[in-house]
Amino acid sequence: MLLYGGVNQTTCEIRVSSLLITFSGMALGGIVAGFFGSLLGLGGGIFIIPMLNLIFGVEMRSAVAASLVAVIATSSAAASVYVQERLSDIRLGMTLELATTVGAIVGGLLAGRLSREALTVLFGLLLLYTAGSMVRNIPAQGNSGGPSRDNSKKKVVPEYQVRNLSVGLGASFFAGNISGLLGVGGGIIKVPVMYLSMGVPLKVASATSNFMIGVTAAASAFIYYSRGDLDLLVTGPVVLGVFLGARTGSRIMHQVRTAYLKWFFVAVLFYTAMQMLLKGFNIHVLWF
Amino acid sequence: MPDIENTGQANVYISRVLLVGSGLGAGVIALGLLWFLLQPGNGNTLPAAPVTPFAQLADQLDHVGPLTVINLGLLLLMITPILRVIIAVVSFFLERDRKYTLISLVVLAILLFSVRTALA
Repeated sequence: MLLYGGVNQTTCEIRVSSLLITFSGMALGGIVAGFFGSLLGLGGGIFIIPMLNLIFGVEMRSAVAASLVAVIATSSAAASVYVQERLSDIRLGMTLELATTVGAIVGGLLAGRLSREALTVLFGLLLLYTAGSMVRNIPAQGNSGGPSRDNSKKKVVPEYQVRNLSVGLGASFFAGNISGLLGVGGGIIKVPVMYLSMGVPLKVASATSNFMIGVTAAASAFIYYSRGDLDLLVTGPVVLGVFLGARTGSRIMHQVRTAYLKWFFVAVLFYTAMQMLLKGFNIHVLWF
Repeated sequence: MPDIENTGQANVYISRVLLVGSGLGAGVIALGLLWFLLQPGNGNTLPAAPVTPFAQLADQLDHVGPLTVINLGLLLLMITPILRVIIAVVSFFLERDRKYTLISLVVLAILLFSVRTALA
């Protein structure tokens, strides 16, 4: 089912019953992706890109570009809360951004060189990795891996000393790379590294990661802009949807036991990963 | 680096810029989409609508259409993080924190390098 012709379209001519339906579909998809993404601490990109690519037939690079702008919007909205609560460590964030932004530019440029099949396969692998870290309860955000309601109201930041800065910079470069190449925030890499190897408290780590994500995404978004990969009529509805969904999701984040959702979304991620891998390797199986 | 408290005032500014920037960007995009939908003769197909390069965007300002509005909304969102870094540069400078003024200046330079690619 292809609802969208896309930039650089080769195979598909578009037949849409109505523009409005396509717009609404993309916006609704954005809402769902943003809502559950923020609820699970994953960010919207991990769901929005497969949705655009598999359901709406949007070219991989345009889907990534749309997701990057959505990531900027949600990061700005979410970080404004975190920054005000003084949870994010701006000095640490700025230092690590030295690496994430360079990584993001390299990733964005690399995306222009890779075939759409290669990008699809890489995204499939990222989905598998994400599903894997959910299974193993590796934190992507402060809320994943169980309820954290007890300390959600506290604004006290425990004392900590940042360790292993070079490891953090290396991981940040890699996270920026993934972000620029595949259009996700990269929190799934940064937060565990800050928390587990750098001695940063989990809440501060996830708030700082959130603070950084927008800057990282902006670094590569302009690369996509310059290539003309950013499509106005795809990005517009998606960004609005993700923005709304993420705001709602982060607002009720502390009232929901995400543990129930976990296994359902591990299954969703796994299924989507298989779809992306099959598509990337040009294997056509009809098991929809 | 536990001195989060020191940057209190900057935090408030950053927070406000982020909120206004992202809200304004989303609002402008919504207006543009609505305008696009209300235009007669759109047909039933979703046309490919790549963003306009900066140079040509200035020319489009004479006859603004819905796509130009969406484009400007996207750009508003995209420059919000850059504003955030600029505020950080200024506030670190005012605190006479040379090390972090320099660090955020380098981050700003990297971002501007990326923006420059879209100028061509």
